[in-house]
Amino acid sequence: MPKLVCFLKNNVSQVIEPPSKVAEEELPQQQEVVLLERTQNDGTSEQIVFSSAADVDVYELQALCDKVGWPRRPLSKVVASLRNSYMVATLHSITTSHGSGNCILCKLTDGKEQKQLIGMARATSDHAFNATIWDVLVDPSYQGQGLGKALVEQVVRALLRQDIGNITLFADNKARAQFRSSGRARFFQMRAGVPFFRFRRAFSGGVDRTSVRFRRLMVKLHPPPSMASLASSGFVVWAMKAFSSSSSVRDLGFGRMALVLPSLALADLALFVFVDFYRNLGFEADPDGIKGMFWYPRY
Amino acid sequence: MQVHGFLLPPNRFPLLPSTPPSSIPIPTQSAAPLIRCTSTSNTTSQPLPLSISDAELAARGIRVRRCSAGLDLEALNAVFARVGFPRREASRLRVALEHTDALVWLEENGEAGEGAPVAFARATGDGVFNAVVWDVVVDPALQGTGLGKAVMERLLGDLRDRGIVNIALYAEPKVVGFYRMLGFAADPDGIKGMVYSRRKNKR
Repeated sequence: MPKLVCFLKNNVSQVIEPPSKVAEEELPQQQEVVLLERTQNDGTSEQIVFSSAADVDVYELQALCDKVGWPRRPLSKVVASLRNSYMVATLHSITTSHGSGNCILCKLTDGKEQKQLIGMARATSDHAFNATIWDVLVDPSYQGQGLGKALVEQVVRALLRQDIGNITLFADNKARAQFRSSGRARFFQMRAGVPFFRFRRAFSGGVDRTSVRFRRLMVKLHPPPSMASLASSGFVVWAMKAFSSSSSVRDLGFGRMALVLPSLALADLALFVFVDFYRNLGFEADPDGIKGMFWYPRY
Repeated sequence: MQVHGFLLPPNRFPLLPSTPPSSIPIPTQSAAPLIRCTSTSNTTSQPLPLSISDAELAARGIRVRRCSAGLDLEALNAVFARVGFPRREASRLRVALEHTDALVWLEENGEAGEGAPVAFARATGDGVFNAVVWDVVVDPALQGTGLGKAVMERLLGDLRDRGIVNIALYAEPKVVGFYRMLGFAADPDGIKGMVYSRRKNKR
């Protein structure tokens, strides 16, 4: 229960205990939804379970962030941020083996459940009017099955059930920030971790030409050419000009974008994917001209 | 290698700094989110420059408050109504203020009476990484006298002192310029602010 500690002018600190009854009522109720159920050939069955109030193992979360390619954050801060979030929604994969095989190993693991964190999203809120969804992530090996969509949909539903009317988010791709700061080395790691094209196909229906082109490009670039060889061919200089001349990559058009430095282009394509993704879920970008703004302090 | 310089631009928007600035205190595990009702902080970082100091405000008969205790919700609702914000139910407003990370309001000594705000701003978030600023209002009678700037600067300073680097808000078109002046950038790196729309969902 958060306490309001007021330091008054005369240095007497006064602790105000908010009535605890009200707070308990308004906390999101535990809610579990089985999103998917399937049986593998080896007799194990897998359930994908959404939960809006499950405990999150921060080490598991860190492993998931690593897989997705997000930068690491101090665990103590992650713990605090989860605790201070109004809702922490998770996707878990629960595998149960039924021991249909004859091997000893199958019998040993018979009926045992294995629970793995494969997705997370969280929302901060004032518990009354506004909520903001942050940090939506899905394990790359589970992407492309509509799980990200289901996750956000469930979070929105849960928030609406709590009568929170103003649900917002900032569509961005964390990988961008990361890769702007750490450059090329990270890009290739990210490429391995985040299959953007698959994501796009899964959520906006159909394969568009850009993604095909991208995949081809990726195949061509595997293994990627060194930047030195690109620079010597004048490609980088051209790409720099193309990029610095326009403030928004959108202006370049998709065709040319595919030719621009693959690292930058991938990051920006990813953003379109994310905006599209949320638009399909009922979110509107800049409604009535309202702009999302970020503090960029000059201190 | 010049090419390298292009590939590694400075991280202009420290949305997720890989290494946090050393001045950021790591919150203790047990600490519940606190509303710190004073700006006195134990951080070593430079305080943000204020365009109007507390003393100057005091000279104008305005007191800076950082705590929802003593705030007259009816008076706040009246200010909301005057600037065209929707009126909020007092009980829910109270709940929202209890779950607000940082809050700054200005109280005018005089005819408005005790607890009546002339300017108000609050921020919600996870208290660690992110904060979103909501409900920034200035009484129309006092708009254009620097009070909006005064509350926002103090709110941002309080958030920054707690190590929150990712501070965002949703700005109506007519106030985008105001926030720009305070150091906000619209859609930095193309990040889009999005709002869930019920009407679209009803289709």
